[in-house]
Order: sequence, then C-alpha cells, then structure tokens
Amino acid sequence: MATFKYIIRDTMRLLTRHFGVVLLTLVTVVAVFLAVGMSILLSVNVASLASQIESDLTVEAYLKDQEARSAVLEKLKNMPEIKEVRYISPEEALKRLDAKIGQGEQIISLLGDNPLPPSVIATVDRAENLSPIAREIEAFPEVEDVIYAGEVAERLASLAYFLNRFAMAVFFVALLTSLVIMMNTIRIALYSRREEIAVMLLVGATPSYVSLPFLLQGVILGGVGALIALFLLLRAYRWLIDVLSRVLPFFTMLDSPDISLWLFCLLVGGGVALGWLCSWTAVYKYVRRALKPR
Amino acid sequence: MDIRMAGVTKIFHPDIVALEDVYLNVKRGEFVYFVGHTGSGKTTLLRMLNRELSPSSGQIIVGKYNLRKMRLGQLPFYRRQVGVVFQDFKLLPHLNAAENVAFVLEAIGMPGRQVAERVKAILTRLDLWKRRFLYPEQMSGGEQQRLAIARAVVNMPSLLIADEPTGNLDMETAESIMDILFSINASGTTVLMATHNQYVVDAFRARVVRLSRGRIVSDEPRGEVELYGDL
Ligand SMILES: Nc1ncnc2c1ncn2[C@@H]1O[C@H](COP(=O)(O)OP(=O)(O)OP(=O)(O)O)[C@@H](O)[C@H]1O
Ligand SMILES: [Mg+2]
Repeated sequence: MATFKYIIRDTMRLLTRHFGVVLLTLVTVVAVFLAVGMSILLSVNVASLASQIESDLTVEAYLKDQEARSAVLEKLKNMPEIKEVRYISPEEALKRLDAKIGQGEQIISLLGDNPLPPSVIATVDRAENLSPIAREIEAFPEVEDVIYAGEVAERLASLAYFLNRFAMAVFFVALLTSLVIMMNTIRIALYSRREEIAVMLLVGATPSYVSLPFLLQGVILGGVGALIALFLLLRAYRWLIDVLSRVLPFFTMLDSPDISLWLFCLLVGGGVALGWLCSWTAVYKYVRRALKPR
Repeated sequence: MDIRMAGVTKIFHPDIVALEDVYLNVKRGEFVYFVGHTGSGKTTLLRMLNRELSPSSGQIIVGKYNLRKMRLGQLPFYRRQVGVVFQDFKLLPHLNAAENVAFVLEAIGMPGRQVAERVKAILTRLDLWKRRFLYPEQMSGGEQQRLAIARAVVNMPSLLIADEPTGNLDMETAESIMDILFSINASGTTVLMATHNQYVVDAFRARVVRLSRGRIVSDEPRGEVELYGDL
C-alpha cells in the first residue's frame, strides 16, 4: 500500500514537472480521439441509414388517375411476392405529407389545389424481390412513376462501406500519430529522470517499481485525453441531433445511451490501452537494460 | 555475507583488462581496504560485487548468491542487502537529505511510518538530522559523504561497499567517516573500502588488499603497508 502511495506521488511529479509537454500531448490525444470518434459516428450513422432504407420493403406507385385504382389493385393482389397493398388517395397523401413536414396547408394555399397524385403502396415479401417487382409495376400502363428504396439504399450502403474504410484509415493514422507523440513524451520523462532511475536500480528498486509511474503517466494521458474527446464529441453529437431533428425531421440519427456507452468503451479503452502500450514499450525495455550488468 | 571471487577477469571492450585472474576470500564481518594506483581496478572490483558489472570470466559468490548465475529478476533483491557508497555519491539533486535516504526504503515498499523512523535514526547517527531539509548542493563535501553513507546503510545491509569515502575530505572529517564505517562494521556488516588515504590505512588498521594493473599483488591481514611502496 505504501508502495502504491509513492508510485502515485511519483506519477504526479512526472505529470507536473513537464507540464508544457504533458499539456501538448494531451491536446494531441484529444484531437486524435476526436477525429477517430467523429469518423466512427459518421460511418455508423450512414450504415444505419442505409439499413433503415433497405428494410423498407415498399414500392410506391403513382397512378395516372383515380380510375386506374381498381385495375392496378387487382393486378397487384395477384402477384405472389406482394404481401400487402394499400391505396392512398390524394387527400390522404396530403395528410401524410403534412405529418412529415407540417406544411401541407401551405402547399394547398400555394397551389390552390391538391397536386398529389393517387398512389398505391405495395409491400413485397423479401428485399431481393424489391427491384424486380418495382420494375414490373413501372411497366403497367396505369402507372406514372414508381419510387422504391432499393436504389437509394444501395448507394448508401456503398457510401457506408467507403466511410467504414475511411474511419478505419483515420483510426490507424490517429493511432500512429498519438503513438509517436506519446512515446516521445514518455521518453522525455525517462530522459529527465535517467539518473534517478539508475540510482533507484542500484539501491534495489525493482524494474516494475521504477517503471510504474511512467506507465501510469501514459495511461493517464491516454485515458484523460480520450475522456475529454468523448465529452466534446457527445456534446457536439447531441447538438447535431437537435439541429437535424428540426431541419430534417424524417432523418433519424442513431441516438441511444448504447451508442454513448459504446463510444466510451472504444475511445477510453483505446486511450488507456494506447497509453499503456506506448509507455510500456518505451519504459520497460529501458529499465531492464539499465538494470543489466555490463 | 562471505565473499568468494575465483579467477575473476574483467575485460572492457575492446581490450582494456581492468581485472585479471583475481582470487579473493572475505569472511563475513571483515573490514577490508583495497589500495593501489589509480586505474588499478579497485572500483571495477567493487562494482562487480554490486553486480553493476559482470565478470568476463571467473566466479563471484556472495553469501548464498552466485552472481554470475543470478537472474535479472533477482538482482534488485540482492542489491537490497548490499549498501554502496559511490565514489561520486550519486545523491539525487532534486531531493533533500531526508528524501534522499527515504527513497531507498520507499523503493523497496517499506511503510511510511517505518521509513520516517529509520531515516530519523540514521540521520541522527550521522549527525545530519539538523540538515535533513538541505539539498545536496547546499551541503559541504563531508556532509554529502555522510549522507551517501546514510543512504547506503539505512536498509541495514550485510555488505557495505565504500569507494573512496574519504576522498577530498580533511583529516578530521575523514576520521569521523572512518569511525562511522568501523562502527557499522562492529555491528556485523562486512565493509569493503577502496582508498588512496595513507593516513586512514595507518590509523584504522584492517586487512589491506593491494591491486596493481588489475591483479592482487599483496594481501596483508593487519595491514602495515606503504600504499605506494611498490613505486
Ligand atoms: N566502463 C569502462 N569502460 C572501459 N574501461 C573502463 C571502464 N571502467 C573502468 N575502465 C578501465 O579499467 C581500469 C580500472 O579502472 P578502475 O576505475 O577500476 O580504477 P581504480 O582503481 O578505481 O582507480 P581510481 O583509484 O582512480 O578510482 C582503468 O584503466 C579504466 O580505464
Ligand atoms: Mg575508483
């Protein structure tokens, strides 16, 4: 227990003696983990958007006129891949639009008339049937136009894939940067205390006792840096969610305590592990070598 | 701790022979001077016993430890039983006198209260208690020397190695240092001391081992020796 106290005291000494360097390292770590966190959030959001869209198995077909309704419904009901069909009148379409963006009234007063065409919404049974069915419906003479999610989802999915790669790249570059910077900080600390280390080893301190303050310094730098980054990131994300929910109400970003927890584990765990790794590589080897008889 | 050196040779890279075929036995509780010209290998021999240096060939056995076979992980625990007063003191400049002594005990995990007690006892014994808040650079040469001794013996080692502990000190201060070393020796600690000080060797009689060019050339049990008699 006493040993623990001395080690903590030594760690604090290390952190305060080179305060400038420590601060600089901390800023770097924060920046690096911000970048990592941001790219992660971006890529998971796009991926979730893509899967949201993908899971939408409906095809919306706009009809040329109201009379086409029964013919189209009849044909659709006979297709085995279609589970459910629903007719949407122009009035209902307006109501739905209103619910989504809350400006239906204005549109009517702007145009004087309801501009929305009648439509049917067909739900297919499986995702891979979506595009063939949509194309088939598009070929109906009574159908003006067809909208379905498949295409958008495909594009988003490939974007998500790309962003995933990007996040990965950011992660590795960031890892390397912080590795180098952190190692240097630890080296400076080591260098400034090399005599002390030598004397401690000469009077019988174990390598782990000598190394621990340096390891803790690394862990604290990495952990605290990641924590600060996490805090900033979550604040910014919350703000972004608020803004987007007002500007783009139909676009839902991932928002759950889960994602904060997940980010916490990933960033802070990463920071701590990184700090430990850096200082361990720099310190332990040095101390062992210093102990070795010549 | 008994010490046995057998056929110890130390060659520094590439071909500096600092010690050559040294045989030496020291019994537990003995006091031994190592004398000889500068560069004769005294410091090298002493550093071997602390395992700062490892021999190029030969055996060194201290107590139950075979130094050549000792694993690195064991070394700290061995060193805790060997106090060293370094030729250049190696005091830590940013720690005051009390802290310089205390950190040895802290480094081996001794509880704080016990550390404080031991530090007080040893600093009082070496007449440094009043100076406990001074930093090494604020202390006189003799005080630094005593502080280095205090640090070396605070953990009650069974072997004390002192490399020129009276170098650069006036006669009286040297005498007081020798009194301290002999009183530590009287409590059962083996003391090995390298010196150039003829007066000390004459006034405080003990076994004298003389080195010349890395070889032991004489070994007087109750040394009435001329330090540079072979000139
Ligand atoms: N680390 C080293 N590398 C190379 N040569 C060394 C090293 N340490 C000592 N030597 C050489 O070994 C020889 C013995 O040195 P040592 O320091 O043991 O002498 P000494 O008897 O202690 O001398 P002094 O009385 O001046 O302290 C010297 O020639 C020295 O140059
Ligand atoms: Mg010497």
